[in-house]
Amino acid sequence: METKEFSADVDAWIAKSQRRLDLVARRSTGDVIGRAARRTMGITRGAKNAKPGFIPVDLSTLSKSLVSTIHGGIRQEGADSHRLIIGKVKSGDVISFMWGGPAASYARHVHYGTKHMDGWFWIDRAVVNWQAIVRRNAIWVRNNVK
Amino acid sequence: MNTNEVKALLQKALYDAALGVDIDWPNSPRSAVWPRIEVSHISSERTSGTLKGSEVIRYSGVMSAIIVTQAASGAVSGDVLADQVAAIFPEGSRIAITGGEIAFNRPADIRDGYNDDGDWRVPVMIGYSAMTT
Repeated sequence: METKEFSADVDAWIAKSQRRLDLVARRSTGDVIGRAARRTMGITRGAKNAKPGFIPVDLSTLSKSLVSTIHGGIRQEGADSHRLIIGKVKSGDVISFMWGGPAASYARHVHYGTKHMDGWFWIDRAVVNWQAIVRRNAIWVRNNVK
Repeated sequence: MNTNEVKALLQKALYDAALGVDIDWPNSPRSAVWPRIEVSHISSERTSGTLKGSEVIRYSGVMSAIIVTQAASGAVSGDVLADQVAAIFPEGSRIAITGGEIAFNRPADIRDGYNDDGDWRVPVMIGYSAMTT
């Protein structure tokens, strides 16, 4: 009897730990890609300088070129496509987000810059905060998921 | 830990490597010579070191070094220079700062090059963690 209760406790603990890990992964992924996907007025629309960390918007072609996938299988396209797959993310999943493609082949130029324009670095500026975001979500989960 | 000191020491390491090319530092006029390196910085928000909180402060950052060579001259010279820049900051190395250190926990990331109006640009992203010790 005692052995069974102990086993049930361990099972419950494992399940809770997995739920917490999944939640940290889901929230952190959502936070970092949500930060990367922020948009602002582009230079051709009147902005005076690059605003690093944001995607400049002229006709929204670049922001709408986002392709979001999990394990290369589930695939969504569009500026807010990341929102559609974040809910499916679990710890250990391989997910990818990519701007550019044939519709916005200039994505690399806008991101890293050209001789005429500073880079906007929206991906690197979001990803560099990954550790801080995970740490914050780990604290949130610890305090809110019992 | 002083953010300005971190950036200055990273730039000093690049300068001291004496690669023999022009370097355009942040917020300074750009040159038009080939080859050259365009430097900029990306920093994260700061965090305390443990989930329980502590006096340890750390943040992550990236020094972006864009290698600029002449377009249509082949990708080799840009890639060679990119490798040389990456080699200045090997994985596992550290730079001491006042009250802390800069740690390079992964190799510098050499991204795919691209053509830009006569330039061939190869981004080298040098990731680091700065922390008080």
